[in-house]
Amino acid sequence: MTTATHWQADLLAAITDPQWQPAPGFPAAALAVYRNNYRVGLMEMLALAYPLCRQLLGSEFFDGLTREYVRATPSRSGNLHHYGATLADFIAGFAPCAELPYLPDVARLEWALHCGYYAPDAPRYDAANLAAVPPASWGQLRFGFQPAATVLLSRWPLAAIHAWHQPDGEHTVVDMQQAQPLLLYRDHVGRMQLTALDSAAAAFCHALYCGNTLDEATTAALAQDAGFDLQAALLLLLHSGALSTVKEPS
Amino acid sequence: MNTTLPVCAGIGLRHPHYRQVLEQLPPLGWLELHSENFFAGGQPLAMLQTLAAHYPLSLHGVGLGLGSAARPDRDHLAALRRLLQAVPAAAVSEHLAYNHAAGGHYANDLLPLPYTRDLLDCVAANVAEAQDAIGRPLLLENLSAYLQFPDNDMSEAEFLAELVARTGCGILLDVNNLYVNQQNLGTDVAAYLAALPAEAIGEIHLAGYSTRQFDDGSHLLVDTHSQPVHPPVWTLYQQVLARFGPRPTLIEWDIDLPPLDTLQAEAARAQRLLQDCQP
Repeated sequence: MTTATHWQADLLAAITDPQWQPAPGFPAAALAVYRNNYRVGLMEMLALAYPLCRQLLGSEFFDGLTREYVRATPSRSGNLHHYGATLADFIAGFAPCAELPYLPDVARLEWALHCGYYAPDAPRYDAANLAAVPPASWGQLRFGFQPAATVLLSRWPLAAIHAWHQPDGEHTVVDMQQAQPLLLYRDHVGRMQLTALDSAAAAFCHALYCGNTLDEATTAALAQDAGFDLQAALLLLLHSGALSTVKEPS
Repeated sequence: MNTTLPVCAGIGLRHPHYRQVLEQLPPLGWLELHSENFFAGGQPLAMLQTLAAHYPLSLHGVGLGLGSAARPDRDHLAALRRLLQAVPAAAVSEHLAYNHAAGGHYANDLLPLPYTRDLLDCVAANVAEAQDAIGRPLLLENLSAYLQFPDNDMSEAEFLAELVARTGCGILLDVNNLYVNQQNLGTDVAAYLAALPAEAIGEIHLAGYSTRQFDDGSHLLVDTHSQPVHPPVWTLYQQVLARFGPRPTLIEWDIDLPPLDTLQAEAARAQRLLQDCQP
């Protein structure tokens, strides 16, 4: 490395690591400006991506959490929208948040909404195309999901917690014993939507999301609930636009 | 020419004003938006395509860090290329800034770089790689800085002029940044302007700085984009116009955003100065 590249590496270390002792040539006042820009820029990004966690914790507590997260988590992309992917795991190991055991899953939901909003476009799978597939082969079909869509498994009532904290959301009693796994997708005008699933539908959607065949996904759903309604679950996926492609058996 | 922006004043369009601009389509010479906010599809891209039907657009990147010794992120370049295929842009710009070390550790800021001959080789290769990836020339913006490498071989202006000669890129001259550097680092403004190749200046930025006081009594001007353009920056802008002639000029305001008509009034002031200097 040349002197110039050494200097660049030292500057980055001095800015991102508050414990790093500035070498001569890095004036303290200038370093303070850069350190502040770095910390505040990433903390503001997290506040934008995780508004629900911020509401649940209060802004002061949330700022304390994200200050610690930024200190522990270097940025790996020049695109700020990529920062914060691991906040849920960090919360799960952050002792002051232990009283809110559902918070890591709320953070997972928010990260999925954030990534979904910024995901690329892809064509919606047209349900009419299914008519061209011989019914005997349906069981072997595999589906590709929209980049914006995902299935989130959780033991917490994520849909109710989310709705409670929306400006125009429904304020029903949140039953903390009720698991609400979710199907997340982007609707035709680009808004992220979430639909709560029962345990069988969640097993079905998750199996398809992971690349299993329709037969395998149905088996997984029936293991959860013998009364699983295959038609309703498949229609939900088709009508939501969560599916993008189909792979027929070769 | 390295842009097709009209030679008039435009504004930086930020999230709080999206709805108003889309609904009212107010008279604005052109708009500049941050490229990285539109790398995906969905609502953001659809909005940008609507804006493109009504205004000339300049897409301004903040994340490539072409002034790093390390190469630019290939995924980032691919995303920029896809964006430019989806949206007609009159100008594409980035910063002559450092933001990442080898190994992919980023600062997400616009950090200064050593203006040395060996780093010039790296940066010229980075700029060429970026321009090849998007298939068009970039405008590179000068930095505001709070410290500098102690053993520079040349000034930032000379470094930019070398990049223009080697890569065919253009220059986005941020007048506020130049003023901030004059105050913070003692940059010689007259020598700076003399070193820049006039024909390469494709765009000008104007913005407001803040003053930060320190406990030891010292202070720094910080490029916050949170204020109206300050009087000495307007004066320097006139000096720049006298040297280079009229250029597309942007009012840039990123935080503590005022109502849209405040930005329009700032743009109108720049427009009057542009008209005064028409040859």
